[in-house]
Amino acid sequence: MLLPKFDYNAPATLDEACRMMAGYGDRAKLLAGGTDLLIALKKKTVTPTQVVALNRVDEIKGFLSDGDGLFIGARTTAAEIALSDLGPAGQALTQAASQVGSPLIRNLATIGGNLVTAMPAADMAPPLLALQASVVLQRIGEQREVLLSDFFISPGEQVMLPEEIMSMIVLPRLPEGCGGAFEKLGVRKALERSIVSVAAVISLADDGRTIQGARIALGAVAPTPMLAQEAGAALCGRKATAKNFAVAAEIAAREAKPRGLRTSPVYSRLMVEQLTLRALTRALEAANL
Amino acid sequence: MPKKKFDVLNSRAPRVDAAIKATGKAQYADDLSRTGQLYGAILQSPLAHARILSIDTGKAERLPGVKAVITAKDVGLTKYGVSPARYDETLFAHDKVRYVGDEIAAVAAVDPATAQAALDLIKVEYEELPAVLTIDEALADKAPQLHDDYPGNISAEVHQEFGDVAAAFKECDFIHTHKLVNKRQDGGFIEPHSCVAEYDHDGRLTLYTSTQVSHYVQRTVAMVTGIPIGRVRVVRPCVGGGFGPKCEATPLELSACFLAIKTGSPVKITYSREQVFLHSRARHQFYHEMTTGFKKDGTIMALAHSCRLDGGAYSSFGIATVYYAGSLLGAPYRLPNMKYDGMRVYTNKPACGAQRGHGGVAARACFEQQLDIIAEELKIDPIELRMMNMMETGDTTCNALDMSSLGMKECVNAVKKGSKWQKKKGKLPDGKGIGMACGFFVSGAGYPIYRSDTFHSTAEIKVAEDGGTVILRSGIAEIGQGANTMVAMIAAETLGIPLADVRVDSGDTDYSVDLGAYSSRQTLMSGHATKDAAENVKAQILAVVADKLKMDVKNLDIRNGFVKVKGRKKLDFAKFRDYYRKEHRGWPNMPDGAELSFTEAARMAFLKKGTIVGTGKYKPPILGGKFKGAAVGTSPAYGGSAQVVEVTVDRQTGRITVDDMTDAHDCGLAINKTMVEGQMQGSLSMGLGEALFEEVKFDEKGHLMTPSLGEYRIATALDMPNIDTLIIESGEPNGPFGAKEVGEGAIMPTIPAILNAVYDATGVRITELPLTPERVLLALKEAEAEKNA
Amino acid sequence: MKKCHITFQLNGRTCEVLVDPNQTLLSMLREDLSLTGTKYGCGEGDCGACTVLLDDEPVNSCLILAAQVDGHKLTTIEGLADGDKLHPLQTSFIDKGAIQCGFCTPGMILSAKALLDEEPNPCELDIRTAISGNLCRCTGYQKIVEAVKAVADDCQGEN
Ligand code: FES
Ligand code: FES
Repeated sequence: MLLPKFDYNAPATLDEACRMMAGYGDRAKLLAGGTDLLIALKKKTVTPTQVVALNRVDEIKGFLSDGDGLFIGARTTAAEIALSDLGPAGQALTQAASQVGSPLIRNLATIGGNLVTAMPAADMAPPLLALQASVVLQRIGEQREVLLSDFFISPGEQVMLPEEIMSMIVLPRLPEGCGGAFEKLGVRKALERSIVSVAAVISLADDGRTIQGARIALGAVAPTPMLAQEAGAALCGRKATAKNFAVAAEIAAREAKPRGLRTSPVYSRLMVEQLTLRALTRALEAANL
Repeated sequence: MPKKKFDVLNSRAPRVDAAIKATGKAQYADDLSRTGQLYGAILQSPLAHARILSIDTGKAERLPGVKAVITAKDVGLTKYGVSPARYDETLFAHDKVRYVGDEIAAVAAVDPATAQAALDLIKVEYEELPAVLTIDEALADKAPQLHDDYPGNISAEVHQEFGDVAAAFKECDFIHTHKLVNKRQDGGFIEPHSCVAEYDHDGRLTLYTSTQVSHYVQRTVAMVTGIPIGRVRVVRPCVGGGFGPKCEATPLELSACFLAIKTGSPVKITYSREQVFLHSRARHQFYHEMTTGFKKDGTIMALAHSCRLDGGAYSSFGIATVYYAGSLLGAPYRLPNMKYDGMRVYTNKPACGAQRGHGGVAARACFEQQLDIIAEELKIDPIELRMMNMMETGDTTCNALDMSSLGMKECVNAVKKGSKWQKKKGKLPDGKGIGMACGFFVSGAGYPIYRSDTFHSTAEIKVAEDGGTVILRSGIAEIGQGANTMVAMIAAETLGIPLADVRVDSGDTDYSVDLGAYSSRQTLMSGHATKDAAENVKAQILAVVADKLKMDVKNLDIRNGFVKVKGRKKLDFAKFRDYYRKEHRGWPNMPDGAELSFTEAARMAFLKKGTIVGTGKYKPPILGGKFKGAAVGTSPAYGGSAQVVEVTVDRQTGRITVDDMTDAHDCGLAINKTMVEGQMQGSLSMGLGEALFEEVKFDEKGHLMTPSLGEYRIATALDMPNIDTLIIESGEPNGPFGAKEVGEGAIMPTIPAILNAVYDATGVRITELPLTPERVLLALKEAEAEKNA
Repeated sequence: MKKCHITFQLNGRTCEVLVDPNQTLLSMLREDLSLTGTKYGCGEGDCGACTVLLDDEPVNSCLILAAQVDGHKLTTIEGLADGDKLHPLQTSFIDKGAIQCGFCTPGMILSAKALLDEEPNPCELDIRTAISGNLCRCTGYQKIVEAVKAVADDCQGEN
């Protein structure tokens, strides 16, 4: 389990990191939490000649909120997110963060890394999709914001250019009356990759019963984390009842595109349905709190 | 009978090795490093079955930093294995490779990176052959053959019948047939195999290795390298768990030895986690089919049992495994008629071997599930049914195993009460279930793995010249189970001195012959040898004391570190004490009490006789029947256990949570209660993992799909419930101080108890392991569909 | 490959090492510094045998480059005892029978220490969660949980 040979770079600022990445291009790999990169290096599935470590770049760590929404630095760890208070809708994300790998992994793994590796089962992707997150991608002198729903391409692949660095995740401000929840099914209770995961975020009208908007996102049941758009749409304008949730859950199961790699597609779909139901029910509870 | 009073035994003394382990000072094989040490690496086959056309090591040899490259050409083709009757391995493949991972060559280099780079430079040309990856493929007509010597891909076959099963079935009111298949497992020990080999230029080889049996490794190394056994020394440092797969000599050890010989430098090799999975030698996949016949009143009449084992590419411990899979069903129930047909089949996968509960775990899971099925059919409480048929002390099984002590009924009663069975059975809400099962295991294999009259354990105790320390030297294997503490406690108890005064130095073939840690043999066998050695030492010391102080030795004893005198006569040792004090002028802690201390007595003996050394030995009496394979399953004693498990089944996801476990184990006498509980709890967590999560998988080309502890899932702290551990002490006449096994028997009931609890929760019987959420949910759905149809 | 010169706090002392850029923290501890109490069990973050405290947080040292600890604070199992006085967790693990083969023990103790430093009075679920990244194949975890609980109860007594 030896690592390939590379040089180690530890820029102190985002700007410096961007300049390095511009110089190295695809010969370089960014190192944030390292929980995925070190394994890929050991397996030699990536063999960069340069590693650019971000652990001194503190400007992309932590939380900041203003009137428009919440900004989460890409280097913020899963443990930090799990401990944060992101409100009744944002708890979809905190719940997901608290179920990443193990406490040891959570102290290392970053939210940015969880997205950049573009794994279908990435725990934090579904809640971020459901929360309408976008990501900010940085390169020298340039910055672009990409909706997370436009970010993933295929397993391991996303839209970033080799020289780009993800600096933060933006969560738009949600109206009052929103609630969110995350459900993960694994074989064990820790150290698990999801068999299926579902995040749901709903917003209720003032009556506390009518659903104004609902977003349901699925993990591990398609080549990329995905939004179950029809399922969410089916709830709009409807009452938040068990029956309507069941209908939406059924639609979500149909929308999933399981590849049958770890469990059969039949089982994956059944689980999408079940976890969607549970996530919606808990999201409603959160919205009503 | 009032309990015998012990001074050291039957306590909760902390382990003798706990402090070094708690502080990180304990040295495991990979922690060792020798001056001038080289690093080894092994080239393994990327193909499941292929002819080797050529091997070119030239480039690798020329790489700077490479000190040696070895292949079959260098090390020869000595066949080895576990059972001499089935030596089917050579260190390196020469004509063909038989599984992905088969060893082809090894290198030694100045650092691990160079060694790895050298492997990449070895060129091997293969002609790929069709592979057989399942039993059916292996047994098919015209199937590709793994070994010329074992046609039909059959590694071993067993046919046994005790009593007359066909006749017995005719008398039965109920006959039930049931199948079960488990999955290939891995030992899952956290320390990967590692070793360091050293060769001096006088022709002496020393191997430090993470092993369960220094003695077997020593023999295999001597045989394969051709170095006389007296010049091969195997030393076991701390071992980070074994559970069976570390019982035999590995290609890692043999490669390190050959590389050390060739280079004249110490060579270290450590398996990566993936290589641990590739080496395997863990639990087989078993396909069991059992037909059991019963009378209306619940009497078990007969069992017809067939089993096929997917063995992998070599035999390893598999010959014993295929016998154990049958023979261990002879108890703990009275079963007058039993027929067993077993077959172990070669496939192009890593070899399976022994793992905790060797051979018996899947069989037990099948049989105990069947008992519940029949209990339901007969409308008898499953515990009642078991109790009606339970053997007792003094019983002999139909396959000639002697129950010299058997606290099974006590175990069952204990878990019944401890789990509040009667309040719960049949009364839990849907989705919650309770289940029970029993188990039974040998307390040391009755015969060594090679045919021999050897002692199974010898031990040596040396008393330091000031008597302050007693050094116990033995070949036993402390692999985490607490063997060192166990022998230290037995030595202290026997000698009559405090535990703190005993030091154990173990696992070194220079010290003694001991067959090591497998078949749950250390407490009974090495315990006996230790006791024997300690008695010898005690007798030597007391004889001198008696002589010097003009006493009858029969009236002398040692307890708690002091010489005790029976009767009215007092020990007059004033003169000797004066002398002792003079000898130690200026020292602190001089003896001054009214009694003669062990230290003084030992000193007296030393002054008379020189260093006091006592030896001890043990071998079991001749055991078992006369039929073919009668040896496997024999043991001087048997441990028994009963378990109750409570589960919750999530009917929507199929996910099972084990909420509660109650376990009772008859260990004869608990030498150390904390350690006995530790064995019980550890066994149950392994059983829980095997029942719910664990499965080694391969793709259609024979590549390992689960090469990590992320993919191969053992239980985490969050998956384990607390276990109520109840120790039963039946007092084993053949065991030292009445003690027998606990290390393996405790895993036996776990899987069937979980299966029975899942049935209780859902009404659905699942006959394939592990109980992953998907398997459970689909079984529930299928049952539902059947009901509706 | 340019070597990296790093300086960090190791078990309370300043430590300077020249490391390879492609070297893991685990390898530096074990090979360069001979601190073999930190174990290799899997190299992929799956077992926790390599647990160390980085700025007081437990992490898998097999997933960290040695170069990354430059300027940080590191605690390994060797740094827990205070001279000849064992850390209460070490004593408790010994007394409660929480150690069998001992290969998981250094990591377990460090994960438990991080928990107790944060939360002196954890419930059982807190304890089990805190050690859920540390696999133990020997003990079934029960005596480990009991050992941690006993230390927690002790701190309570002191308060
Ligand atoms: S060695 Fe680091 S987690 Fe296993
Ligand atoms: S004590 Fe052996 S792995 Fe935990």
